[in-house]
Amino acid sequence: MINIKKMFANGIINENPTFVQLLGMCPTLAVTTSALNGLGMGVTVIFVLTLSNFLISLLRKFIPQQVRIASYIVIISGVVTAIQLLIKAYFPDLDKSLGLFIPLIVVNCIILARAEAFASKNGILPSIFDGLFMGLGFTIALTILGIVRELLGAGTIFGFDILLRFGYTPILFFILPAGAFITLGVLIAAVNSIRQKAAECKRKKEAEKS
Amino acid sequence: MSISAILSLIVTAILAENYIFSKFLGCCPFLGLSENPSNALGMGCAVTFVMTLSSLITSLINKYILIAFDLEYLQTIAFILVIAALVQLIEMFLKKSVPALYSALGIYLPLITTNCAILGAALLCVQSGYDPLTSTIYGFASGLGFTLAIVVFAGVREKVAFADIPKSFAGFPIALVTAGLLAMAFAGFSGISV
Amino acid sequence: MKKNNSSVVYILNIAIRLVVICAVIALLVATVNYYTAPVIEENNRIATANAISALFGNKENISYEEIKDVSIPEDQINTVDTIYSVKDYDGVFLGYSVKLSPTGFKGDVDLITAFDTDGFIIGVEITSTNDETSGIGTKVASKDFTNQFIETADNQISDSPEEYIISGATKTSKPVSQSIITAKSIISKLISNADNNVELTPNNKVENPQLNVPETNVNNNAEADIDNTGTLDENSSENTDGEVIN
Repeated sequence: MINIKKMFANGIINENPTFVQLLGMCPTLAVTTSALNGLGMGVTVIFVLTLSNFLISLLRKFIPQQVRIASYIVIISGVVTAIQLLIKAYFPDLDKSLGLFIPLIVVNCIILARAEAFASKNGILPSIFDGLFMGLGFTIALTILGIVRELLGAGTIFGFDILLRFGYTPILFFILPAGAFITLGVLIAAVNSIRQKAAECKRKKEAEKS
Repeated sequence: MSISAILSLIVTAILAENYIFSKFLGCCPFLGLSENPSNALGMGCAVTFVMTLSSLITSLINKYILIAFDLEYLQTIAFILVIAALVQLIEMFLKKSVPALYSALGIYLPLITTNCAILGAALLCVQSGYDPLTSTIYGFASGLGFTLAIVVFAGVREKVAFADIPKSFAGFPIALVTAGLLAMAFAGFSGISV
Repeated sequence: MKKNNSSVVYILNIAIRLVVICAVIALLVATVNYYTAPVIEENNRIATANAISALFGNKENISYEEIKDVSIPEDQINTVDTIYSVKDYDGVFLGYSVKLSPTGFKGDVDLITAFDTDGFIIGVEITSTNDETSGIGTKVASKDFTNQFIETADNQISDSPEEYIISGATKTSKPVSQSIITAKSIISKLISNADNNVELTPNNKVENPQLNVPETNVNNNAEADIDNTGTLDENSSENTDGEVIN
């Protein structure tokens, strides 16, 4: 019986693809110039991840072991192309802002990693949930990064003026590549420090118990 | 394309629009493999080789097959398959002829397939409408830029490993901050035009 | 022999399964493409139509037709996308429109220019600056920049892009200025070359914008058939009432 709660916690916190597993860095850094872009990319990845996990889990007995990576890649690229076409047709603005990074979802390490680590070994329903939750974790990470970068770099969040009214001069640095690296580095350090403190608390409690 | 246009393309690809510091393509191996400058150099050379060949082949396939038969929507799938096949071939070749490099690269060789930079270069060539020769040159130059970035970064990271860093920054975060500083340096190239 | 046979069967088994997977995926993508391709084309058409209509004063029911076989300077081939002749609902010839996509700082900047029947620029609209640095490169989309190019009989634009660059954003503004200047010279040649004027047809058909860059006489890579899907990222940046559906 799958433990949905545990999978949810895993995907979003314990094994967050961006902050913990450190996968999928390319789109994370490139797309988060604004909160909306980060959110858009995240949601797209949720769809791709869920669909590809579903397909790979469905076909897991059929895919030959020796060429499994190639097979995963074919399936993932098919899913990404299909979703890219749908986005171009029905959400052309999103297509413009995400640009090259939609087809690059194919080589997003997260999708391949989940296919290899989870979908190829588990049933269809758990794989769907895994894809959903990991995608959600990724989306949350990207949106947070996007919010920080947009707030500091343009004074807005999702386009809504937050700091500009106070006479804040946007620090363009955060929207440029260098700012992306540094912001993500600081965020991951923050997450690390939270996790270390949580682990220490846990250890203290267990020491007290015994 | 004239010589000066080609030179301009090369300089731009290596410096002003460096694949890692400007386009964010190829970050995964960049951040994961760059702790040792000689490994980094090996990885960079392998990537350059794959990039050059794949840019050429994908450009040819796009021109003579995909466009001719109106199948442009299959670009992503076709390109990634070409890249996967190329990497497989190179793996087999290295295993037989240069086993030392093969074992040094280890797991990272098959991971070149999922390197955003290679697929990114192929797609960018097609998007910019470069002909096969220009695509090859562009692929080669982009690979050089990637190699430059990864080797420089490895050198810096080696030194940083001896420094006194806050605990929560250890490992990945400090690498990212270092990369950010390097990106700032490379941003200085963005005004170059040949 | 037996071992050989079974290993052949083994490899064949794997190969066939891989081929089946590829075939299924290709079929899936082809199906999606079949349903979305018309929608994508329609999106592009409407975006172009809206942009052109806006430049010609928001007239309703403007129609435009692509002009092919125009000679374009060698170094600007990737910049000039399409040249249209524009007529209004009654078939009266209004002028020309040129769609451009010069390469800016990071990516292409898409813009549309409009010329009246004498070849004077009556409007410039930047339709997309998505890759340019916001606040710096995106300044080219502002009215302050684009209004510089509007001409009258007494006041025409100069030949050098340097006069129109935005300081601090030269990598974006210079190619954009250059492309507008190029467009103007192409249109001027078109007009002075009376043979190239498009025949006014009674039934004005609106054709789908094709990114066919015509061949020039120069022996070079003029055959840049730029792919329509993916590079024509257009954005109707204005709310216009001037629908152009014919």
